[in-house]
Amino acid sequence: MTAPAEENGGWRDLGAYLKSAGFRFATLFAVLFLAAMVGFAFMLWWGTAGTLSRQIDDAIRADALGLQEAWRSGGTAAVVDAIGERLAVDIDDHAIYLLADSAGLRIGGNLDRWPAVAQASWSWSADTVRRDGVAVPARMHHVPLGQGHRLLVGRDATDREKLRTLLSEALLWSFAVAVAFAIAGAAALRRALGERLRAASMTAGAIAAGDLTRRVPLSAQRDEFDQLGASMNAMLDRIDQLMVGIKGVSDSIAHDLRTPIARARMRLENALMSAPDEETLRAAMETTVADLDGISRVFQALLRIAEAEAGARRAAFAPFDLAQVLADAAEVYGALAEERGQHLQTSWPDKLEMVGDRDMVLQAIANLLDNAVKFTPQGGTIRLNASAPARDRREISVCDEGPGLAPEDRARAGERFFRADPSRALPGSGLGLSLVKAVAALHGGGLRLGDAQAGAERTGLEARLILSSRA
Amino acid sequence: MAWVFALLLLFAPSVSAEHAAPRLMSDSPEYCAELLGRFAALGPQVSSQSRALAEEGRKLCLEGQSRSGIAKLRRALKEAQREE
Repeated sequence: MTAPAEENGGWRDLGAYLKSAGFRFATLFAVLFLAAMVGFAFMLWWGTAGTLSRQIDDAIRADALGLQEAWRSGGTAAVVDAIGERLAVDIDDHAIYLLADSAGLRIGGNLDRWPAVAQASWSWSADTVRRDGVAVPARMHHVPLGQGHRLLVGRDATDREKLRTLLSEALLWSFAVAVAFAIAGAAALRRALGERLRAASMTAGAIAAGDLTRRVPLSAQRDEFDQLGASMNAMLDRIDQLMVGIKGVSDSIAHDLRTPIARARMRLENALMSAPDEETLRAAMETTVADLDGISRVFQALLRIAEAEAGARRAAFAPFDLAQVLADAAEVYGALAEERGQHLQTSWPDKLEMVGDRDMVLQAIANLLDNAVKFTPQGGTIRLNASAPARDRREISVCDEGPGLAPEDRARAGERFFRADPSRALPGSGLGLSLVKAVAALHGGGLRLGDAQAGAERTGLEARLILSSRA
Repeated sequence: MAWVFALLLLFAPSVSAEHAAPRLMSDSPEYCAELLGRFAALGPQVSSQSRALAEEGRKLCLEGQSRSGIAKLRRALKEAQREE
């Protein structure tokens, strides 16, 4: 009862085998190999048997032209004499001549009668003639001379036929060997392809089954398959990294937002339970609304970071002048710094053309300036510089005179919700540098943090935003 | 039966053509004689080497080995032609 199902399975397997890339590559290899073999055989034939045939035809043609010349100068007698002389010194005994009259009767030459196949005027023919009673192949050219006379010039083609037979046999055997090699080579190629792809296939299968720690093993050959494996491994590392990031974000959201939400709830509950008058209740609600706005801003920032990291905004990349963006940011934060008794120094070229997401870049610069304003003491100076150190590179540097960042904190500065100890007392969500880092990555660059004034009591912080100017 | 005759007719021309193939006459005793006549017509000024080859050819022709004799006679004539 299971026979039809098994039969169907067999056909399916055969269909899958015929459609497989390994089979197609192997077939392509075999076809190319055999095509090369056919080309080689053709060239060999053309260079040997073909050359010999052409040489014979050339000799016959030259001979016939000479005899036609003799006919024009001396008529029948001259042609008969010329044929006689040529036959007398034909040491190879290959020459064939026949001069016949209008009735087809032999006048001269070494052929007893006109061949049946050579009736058409001025043409070539291949036929047999008898030598000592044995039929031998001959190549013949027949030419009308005038007054009904006809001339036949030919050569014994036995040697050429022997060479053709030898070549045909040799090529036939070679072709048989080539077919065997092509089949064996194709099978070996298919097997090798299957072997090399098996590791990647097994790794993909294991990952699909849930084991995200598996990676494609790489060989020492560093070939295309290893490159594919390396790309797959890099992709898996990236996925792993994103998964860890998502987990970190989830943990951070749960940890960092639980407190303000709980505080807002408690405030509302207290106000509801014990507010002495409507004004106190209203004040508590206003404070709670402000808290909830802060939570909303955090979520908005998280969404923007996620958007930048996913690269979804890359489609919106367009050319813009970075100098203009810097001027806009400097205008807003210059006023803010002035309010706080700080001074904003700026320096950049007149034009800084680049391709990217203008809004995202502006947001990143604003975040850096916001931090600088926040940490620089009253009377301090904030420096905003930008340059184009290379044709496709733009650098924006923001230096403040704040307490700076400890080296161990710099490494964590881009993490979501990370806040160094000196900043915990100040307002902020710990997402500003995360967004800057994501924007830098979106634009093929990075964020570098260092001391603004190395060795000084207050080192300050230099945040260097590096962007690629090309999409 | 008609198809049997048709087949016979189909094969008949090839069989008769085999027998009707023209014959080369330059390996016959008569051609030996013709070449000996040509050599004799060259006169006494031919070299001894040519003469010896012609003599060998004549003997072979007389022994009935016309093709070998003709080959020798042709070489003798070629040699004599080169001497001229």
